[in-house]
Amino acid sequence: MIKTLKMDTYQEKIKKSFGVSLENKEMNSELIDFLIEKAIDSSVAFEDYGFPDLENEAKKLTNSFIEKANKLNI
Amino acid sequence: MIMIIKGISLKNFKSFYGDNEFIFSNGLNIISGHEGAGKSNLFDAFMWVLFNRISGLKKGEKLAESNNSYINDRIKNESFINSSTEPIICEVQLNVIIPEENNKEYTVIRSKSIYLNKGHEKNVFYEKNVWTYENSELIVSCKDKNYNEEEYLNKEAETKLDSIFPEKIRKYIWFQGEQLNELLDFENPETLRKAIDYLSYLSVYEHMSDIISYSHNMLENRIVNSIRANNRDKKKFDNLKQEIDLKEKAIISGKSSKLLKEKALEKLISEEDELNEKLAILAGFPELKEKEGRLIGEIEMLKEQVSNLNDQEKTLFVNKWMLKGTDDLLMKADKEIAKFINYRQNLVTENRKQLAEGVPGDQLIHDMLEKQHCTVCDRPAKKGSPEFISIKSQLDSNKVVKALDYDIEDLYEKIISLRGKPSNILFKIKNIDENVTAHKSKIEFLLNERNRKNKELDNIREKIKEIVREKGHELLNLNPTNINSTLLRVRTDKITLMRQINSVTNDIILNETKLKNLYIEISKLKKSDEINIIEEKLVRYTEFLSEVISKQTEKEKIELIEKIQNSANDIQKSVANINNIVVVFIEIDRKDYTLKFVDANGNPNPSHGAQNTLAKMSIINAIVKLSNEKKNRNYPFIADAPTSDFAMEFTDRFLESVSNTYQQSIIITKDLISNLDLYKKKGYIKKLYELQKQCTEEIALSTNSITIIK
Repeated sequence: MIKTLKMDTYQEKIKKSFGVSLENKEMNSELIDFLIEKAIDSSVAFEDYGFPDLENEAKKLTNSFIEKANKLNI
Repeated sequence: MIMIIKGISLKNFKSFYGDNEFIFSNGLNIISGHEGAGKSNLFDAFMWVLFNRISGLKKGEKLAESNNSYINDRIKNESFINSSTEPIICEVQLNVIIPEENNKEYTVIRSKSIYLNKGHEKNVFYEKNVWTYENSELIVSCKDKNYNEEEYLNKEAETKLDSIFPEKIRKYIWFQGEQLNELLDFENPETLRKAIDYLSYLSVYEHMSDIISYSHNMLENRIVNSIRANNRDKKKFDNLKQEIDLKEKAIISGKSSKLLKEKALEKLISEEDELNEKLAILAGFPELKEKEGRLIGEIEMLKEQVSNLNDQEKTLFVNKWMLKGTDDLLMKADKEIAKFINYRQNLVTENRKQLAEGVPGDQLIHDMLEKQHCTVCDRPAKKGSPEFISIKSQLDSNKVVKALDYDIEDLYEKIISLRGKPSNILFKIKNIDENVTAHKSKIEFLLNERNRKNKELDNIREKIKEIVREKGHELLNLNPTNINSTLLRVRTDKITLMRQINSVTNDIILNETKLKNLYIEISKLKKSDEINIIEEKLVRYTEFLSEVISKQTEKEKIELIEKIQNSANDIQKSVANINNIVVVFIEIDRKDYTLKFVDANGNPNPSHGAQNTLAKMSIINAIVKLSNEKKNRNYPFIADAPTSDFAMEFTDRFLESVSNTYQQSIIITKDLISNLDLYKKKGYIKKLYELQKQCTEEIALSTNSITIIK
């Protein structure tokens, strides 16, 4: 069976570009990943369609960030 | 996402009369043809169907519904001559496939209908008021391989189109060669910055930075709100909070002032572009008008010269006509005069001979007797004296001498003044003949010259008419001196605004640092261990990420510029590395985007025109290539006359390089037309169309010529 090579998405490529710079021993890696991924998703969407409202977008991001932190018991 | 243009159909659009169709392949598609064959009209068809724009419109100017200049003139003329009541439909249809989206096929159709007005006969077919129009219509429909279909009309369709073909990218991948200088100006590093901003992925990092910093501020605010509810020193808190509020207000006001200034700057930049565009439109136009004026003057002068020569010829002809019949008479007169002079000369000779021999003739003796003086011995001979008698005795000597009497001498004096005159007149008559011939050839030369200049004038007037037709009558009112002085003012204002923006940015940074310190101070007022605020932990995350993103953005920028430089130089090397051609490399400053040309050893090496063009194209191709790789997107590349100042070998290699950069490219060029058969064999050209201009005699206007696809 031929295995097809999966191509990284644009978002994945951006995330990979940060490499080890996202590692921080004093912080929760899952939460860092969550925040950076949300920020990347938002920014890629902005590239295509533009933010309807940056403040609203940031509010949504902040709320989901706090929610995630609470889930992880930070 | 890969996008492939399957084909384009044109009906009565510009020089495309009736129904015409182009089918495109993956890879490089070439459309070639001589000047005026309709190549740029095909490019215009792409621009019209996708963006409702045609060439000649100014930046930001919308295509007026009343403008029907893009509808084929031949069909308009036919309809006009036949007084047809049927509508003329102009329509362009574009078919695009996106294989990754379930082979979704988009069909974009833009159409426009016009009808003849009543009473049109008083005008000419290309006048606007001859036609009534209906608003143009846009339909975007898409269907996937499962036959799911969606359709969008007009405004909705425009929005859909914008999501498929983003406006900011299109000018870099669909352009006319002559616009290249606007896209990348080596004297203006801002243009390269803009190209990188629009085409590359760097903006994603900037948006990330914006959103994280916004979120960070929100978390800080939440912390302050929690501390306000529970703090050690209420008074100090209030003071600090007041300061925080002030700083925040200052930052907000600074940001909004920066935004306003940036918008004003953008407006100035667009005004500058517009003025540059006007100057570009004018390029050559004032010279054409000047040439037209000069030719009119020269033609008038020639006309005057011909008319003077004609008058002179008339005078010469009258003179000649009057003198022509006197030829024989004059010749006879000339002979008679000569004869008389000869006769008189003989008399003189005879008398001299007689005197010399001392034997005067009767006439001389009569003279001596009358004068009572001997002419032979020069002594007096009074009447009756022996001398007198001796002279008288000679009378019977029978020696007859012809007389030189007074009448003959009188006549001789008159005749001598006439000598040469008849032959002179004859010579003049001969001269008149020569003059008339010379005049005729001079008039012929002047008439040829006038015809040549008239043709030149017609060509110039046609060019002027075409430019005015294409760019609008407003062109006639443009004044280059005024435009240049406005441009100078705009540039000065731009520099002032840029300085102000820098100063506002510095103020914002300063206030943000102060604000950060104020937050640290206010957080110290929290009653420790009594409350646990989660936001306090989270701001460390946003702070950390802000720093990481900022460093990464800088790193990405430097890496990207390096990659653009290398990739562009690779393209240049592969295109221009031909014997005897010095390859010029580009070097881009990592910080301020300034660009210089260097040789292989890094020494300054100014480029010439074609190398400049090649460098610009290579940079754009490099940015597009790198961005496509990162974004997994691939838009087709459409360019009209991108290689117009390249040598043949440059063109060849450049096209090959384009075929390697883009999944699909459509190049419209006249440069290959003389070697079409050769290019048909080139493996990297997947499709090749030839356009030809056809102009029928019965519709001989140049605007009525039509394009034939081969």
